[in-house]
Amino acid sequence: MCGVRGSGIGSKMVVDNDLRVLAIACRDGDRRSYEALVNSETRALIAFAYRYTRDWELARDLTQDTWLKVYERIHRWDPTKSFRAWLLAVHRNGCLDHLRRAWVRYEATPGDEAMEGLRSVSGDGNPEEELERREFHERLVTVLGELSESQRQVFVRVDLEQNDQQEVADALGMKYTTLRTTLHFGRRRLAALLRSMEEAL
Amino acid sequence: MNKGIDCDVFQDQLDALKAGSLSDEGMAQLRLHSDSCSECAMSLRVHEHLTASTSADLEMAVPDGFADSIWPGVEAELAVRRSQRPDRRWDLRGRAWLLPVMAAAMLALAVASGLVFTELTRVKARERVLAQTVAEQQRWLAELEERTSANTNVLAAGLASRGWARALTRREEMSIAELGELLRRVPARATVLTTAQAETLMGVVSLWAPPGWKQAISEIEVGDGVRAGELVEILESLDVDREMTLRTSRILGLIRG
Repeated sequence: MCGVRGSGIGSKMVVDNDLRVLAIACRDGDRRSYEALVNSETRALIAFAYRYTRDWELARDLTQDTWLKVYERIHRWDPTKSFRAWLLAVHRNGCLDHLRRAWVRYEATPGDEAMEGLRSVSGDGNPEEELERREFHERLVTVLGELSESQRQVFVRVDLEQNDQQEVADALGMKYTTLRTTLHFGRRRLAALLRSMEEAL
Repeated sequence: MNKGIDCDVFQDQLDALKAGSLSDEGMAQLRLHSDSCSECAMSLRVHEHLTASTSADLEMAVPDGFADSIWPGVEAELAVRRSQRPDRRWDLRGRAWLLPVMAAAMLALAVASGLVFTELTRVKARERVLAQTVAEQQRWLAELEERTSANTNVLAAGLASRGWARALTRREEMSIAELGELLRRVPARATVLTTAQAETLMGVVSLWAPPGWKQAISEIEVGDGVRAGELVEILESLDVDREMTLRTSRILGLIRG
């Protein structure tokens, strides 16, 4: 096993090439390489999913689902490209699916009931502050569903995942200025929606 | 002051804040604006909410045991799936490439079958034409052979007649055995006696020939002359002394009529 536990997606402790070697062996059916990949990247994936969920247990479940998807779909990965980028794309799709389910639940049962469905009780720190943070995050996730597809995509990648704007523009094939405009409009619409929601509560 | 412009500047300052490049003055402007604009205040709150922890912080904050529990969970789930997995030989999930490949193969097979069928039909048609041609050729060959055969017979008859007649002139007498031997050298199908000659011979021979000859001669079919082979058979069937001699002038006289 060449990875270091807790290295993280943004970290350089495990270089992409090492991951590629493991991923190629994993694709060829090597169970030990698969285990090494899981142990190497799991902590970063849980942290990534936590940005979406603000719930460690949900983040853990989403991460486990991601690894099962990786096991089933690793033959789709192009070894000439970054395994880490592919892994992150799979994981991001899983997290977005989770958000979409939340949006559907909210549309079907708007109000406290939907919020309750998103709520988790675990967490550290001040319980009241933690609860407040979670409720705010749940409202944030809920109103995300009201943005346009491009606004949501840009907001999720830049503000939720905390990625560099230029990198996101490159990844989405957008001009940098277009991305900034989309992001600013998205932020303002999101803020307006959150304000309306808070006033209604 | 135009609020929209302030809000745009606020967004730019928010990006600078996120990048860690916002000056103290900029931070003060940002706070001041957020106090007077509820939407930008909410944007600032969202920003603070989402940037409360860095990625490294979050990784460190993953609860104990969570990361370690993933692999056993994945392994257990895979074991369950393996035990429940149906016969996947015909399951195309995960083998999406098979569909276009199979479709292409079917198409290729259909095209190949069509080509083979077309070629087969063409060959069959050609075979029929060739069979007709061959039949016509065979008919033509048969006619040609028949005509050639007739001509050959006429020619051979002439040659044979002349040939054995010449041979007879070289001898005054010839035994029946020698006469038979002479006739064997002539092609069996060659006519050696015309109808008229044969009738003359039969008429004359019946006067002086032995009794056995008369019977044999009477059985000769002279409708289209006598062939060399027939005459040899007649000679061999005669119950006479093979060394009995015949005068060649008499035979020549008969032949020449």
